[in-house]
Amino acid sequence: MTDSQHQTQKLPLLRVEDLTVRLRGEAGIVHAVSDVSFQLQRGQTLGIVGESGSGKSVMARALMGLLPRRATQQLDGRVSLAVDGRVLELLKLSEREFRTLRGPRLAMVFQDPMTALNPVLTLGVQIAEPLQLHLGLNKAQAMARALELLAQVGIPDPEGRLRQYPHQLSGGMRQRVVIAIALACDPRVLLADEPTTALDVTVQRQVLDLLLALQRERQMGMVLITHDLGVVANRADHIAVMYAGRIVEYAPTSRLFSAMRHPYTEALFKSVPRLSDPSHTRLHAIPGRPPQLIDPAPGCAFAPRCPNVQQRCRRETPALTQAGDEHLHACFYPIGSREVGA
Amino acid sequence: MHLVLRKLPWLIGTLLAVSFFTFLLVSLLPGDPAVMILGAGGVSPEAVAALRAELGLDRPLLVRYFDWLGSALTGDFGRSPMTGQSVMDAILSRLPVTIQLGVMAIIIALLLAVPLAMLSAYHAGSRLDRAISGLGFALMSIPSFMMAIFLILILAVSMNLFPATGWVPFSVSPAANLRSAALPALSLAMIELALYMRLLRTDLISTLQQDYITLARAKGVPNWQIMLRHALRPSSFSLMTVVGLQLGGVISGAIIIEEIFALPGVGRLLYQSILQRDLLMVQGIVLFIATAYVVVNFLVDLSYSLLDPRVRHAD
Amino acid sequence: MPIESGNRRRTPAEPLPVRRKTSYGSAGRASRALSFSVAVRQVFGSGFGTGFWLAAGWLLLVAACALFATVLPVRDPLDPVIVNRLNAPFTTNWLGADGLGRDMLSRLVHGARVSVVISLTAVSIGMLIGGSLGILAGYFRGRFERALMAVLDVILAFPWLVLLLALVAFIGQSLMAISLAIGLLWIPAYARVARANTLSVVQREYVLAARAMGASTLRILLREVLPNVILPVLAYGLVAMGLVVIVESALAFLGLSVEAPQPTWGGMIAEGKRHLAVAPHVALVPSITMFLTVLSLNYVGDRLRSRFEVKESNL
Repeated sequence: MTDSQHQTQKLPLLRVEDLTVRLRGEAGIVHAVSDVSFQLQRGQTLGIVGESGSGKSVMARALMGLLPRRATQQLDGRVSLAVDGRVLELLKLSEREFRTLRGPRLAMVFQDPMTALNPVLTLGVQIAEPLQLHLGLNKAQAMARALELLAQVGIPDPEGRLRQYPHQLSGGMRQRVVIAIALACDPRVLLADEPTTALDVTVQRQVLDLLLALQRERQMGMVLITHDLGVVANRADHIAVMYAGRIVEYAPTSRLFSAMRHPYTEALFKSVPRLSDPSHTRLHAIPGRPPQLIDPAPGCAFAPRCPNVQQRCRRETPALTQAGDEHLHACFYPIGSREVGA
Repeated sequence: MHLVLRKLPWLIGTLLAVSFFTFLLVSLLPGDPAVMILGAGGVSPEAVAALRAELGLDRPLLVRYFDWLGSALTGDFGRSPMTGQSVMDAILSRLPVTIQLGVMAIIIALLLAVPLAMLSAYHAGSRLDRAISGLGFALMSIPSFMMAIFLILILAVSMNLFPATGWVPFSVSPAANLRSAALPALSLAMIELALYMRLLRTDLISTLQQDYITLARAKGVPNWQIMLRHALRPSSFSLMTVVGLQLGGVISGAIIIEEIFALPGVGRLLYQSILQRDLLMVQGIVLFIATAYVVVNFLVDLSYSLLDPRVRHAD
Repeated sequence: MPIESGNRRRTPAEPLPVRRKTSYGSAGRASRALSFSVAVRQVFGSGFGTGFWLAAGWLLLVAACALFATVLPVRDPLDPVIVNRLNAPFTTNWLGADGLGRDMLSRLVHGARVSVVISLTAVSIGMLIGGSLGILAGYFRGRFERALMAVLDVILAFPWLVLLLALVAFIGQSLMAISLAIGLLWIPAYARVARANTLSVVQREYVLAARAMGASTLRILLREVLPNVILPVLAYGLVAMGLVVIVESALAFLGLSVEAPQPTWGGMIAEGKRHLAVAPHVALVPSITMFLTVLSLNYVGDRLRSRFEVKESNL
């Protein structure tokens, strides 16, 4: 507790304030991300959890400056990155300035390693590319560094792999390569967007542990995006739960699990299978579907699926409010409050 | 190499079918070649019969086919009964012109199409993209002979930059040769350009939506480098196929273009042989062209493996 | 002049801003109720823009000229008025006079007849024969499909003009003969389009269901497959007509289409080529007319095609 208090006083590595993204879709304006705020300290991991379509990936892409220009209708808020003793306002940077940050400052691990690597370039070329671009290494130096990186991410026979093409590797191995590419220029912030969703269950844990080990070793700030609360449970320092483009609950991990306030968080929690459950325990599915983000109706977005829904929830959108030290939630009738009978 | 061996039977089968079809096509043409050679009026039936026997036209179709194929395999397409010239020699002497024309046209088309398509795809949906696509649409609606007329009118008649007709062999004067080839090649190139551009633009746009392009951007790779290094190669497979397939279009165009510009190429030879009903010559040229087409497309198929490592390692 | 290319390997992955229409395949319902209401809504729905209507208007004008050529108040297209020889447009004649002093406007109007008749007939022939073959191949698969595709590949190995010249020599140069020759040329293309669409339809649930319920083959083909294949095939027809106009004019340019004195656009361009230095309008007027017509066909066809989302990716 004292540790985290001490850290919040330091300048955060990454601070996001009221980030709002609207995209032009085929059917209308998509309110992909609304008023998202959080901060990330050096050496810490923030887990962002939500169903698919909750705006997590769009948010990650916004932080990386990778939103499709033409489809971006609105991009508001403040994203501050503290590097080299100064604070950069990411959303105010030109494309050219932003580009120099991608790789050495910010890096990203993508969801599907089967499609994230260029099929016609060798792995060596793909790993060496950012090294040559940002660190000014020549080809031989970059290749030597690429070799080290492959070894660091636990790829056997890295020497031989350099000249291979993506299709010659398994999914897990490819994701390790994607991680190697992300880490190539020693970034300060690593965004991992569902890094294990596309992988076999047996490989998932290995890749997650690798990510975490590398993050600790390099003292990076990591944003770990997932739809699976179980993935971040033991790995993140803080967890933000996203629903319909908004953060609906934010807390230190242990606190979230011991005292979750938002009904959606609880629903997510119940949908995670646990080893401690007796076999054949029915998994709890969240009824209904995630909301359309085009022209969202007023009121709490979770209202149509919420077990505790009241009249007020359908009229007003609840704001993110403090519920104790570092614990925020956006619910009028949070779990454990008086209005809802326990 | 495995790839070559696996596809070889297909190649041979297609070539056999093509040769038979060629033979059939020409043999079924109306008009007795013997009568054509001797002239219609005042020739005795005996003389015609004698010539038919001499030309081997009195034997069954299949026998004649295998006979013809057998000598064709040794490079002997026979002699034109009209001019007495060896068909093979006639083709070979005119081939350089047609090859130069076709290659120049394809190169011009590619040199223009690739950057235009990249520009268009990169700015997809913008005004520039629409302008380029519109240009492509217009070019696609102008057949090569019409393009030739326009080019002659502007660049030869009005501005006098290029000769309107005629051909200077490369060996005589390389500069004059290029000048004489410029307008014909441009005429042929424009419609191909439109086709290549459209195709490459579509493929580039779908490539640009791939995750690995986003990954390249996440690495901080500059946009032009993404286009050249990451997007172009994976997008060029169908372009390659179409360049191969379009060879038929280029050859068809060359027949007319060579006629318009009075170029001594294979296309013009074919056209004039058809007008003169010089069947052996027509047979030889058609077989030659079709064989070239099949072989080139076979090679295009094989060269996929150079561009795409996934194909290379398929064995 | 891309006969074989227009229909092979083209992925219709369009850029982001393109509206994706709900396809006709959205249910078994659509197959039965492929009534006019569906078609009309899809074809004449909003969002076509002025370009589309301008193009459609031009096509209507050309069609009307062809239909009423004999009753329109234009001069005799064959009447040589020597004093008007090579007169420029807007002098003695609205669109000028050709090398024999014949009225260009009336020759254009009568020439439209040839273009319209040939493009309609040729495309219908190709559509009927090629379309049926393609549907059968796509439905029955197996040996028939393989054999058909092999034969089509062999035919495609011949440059279209070579094939056409041979066919014309064989069938003759009447209006119907030319239509037939060009129509035969279109069989491979249509067979491919129809086969690809059939393949995608046959795998849908309602066809599988009909099969499982023991519906007769003929019934499935007519009631389930045909309605779903016919729209994309028809939509492709306009683009095909544009190409037919080009092909016919190429033939006419070489003097091998419908014989003189019947005016044809290609023939007029060929005539104009002789007077290019003195009276460029003789070539330009028919060139521009034809360009506008082909452009309109391409444009309207392309718009309709993107509405129907023709499955071309697996051609």
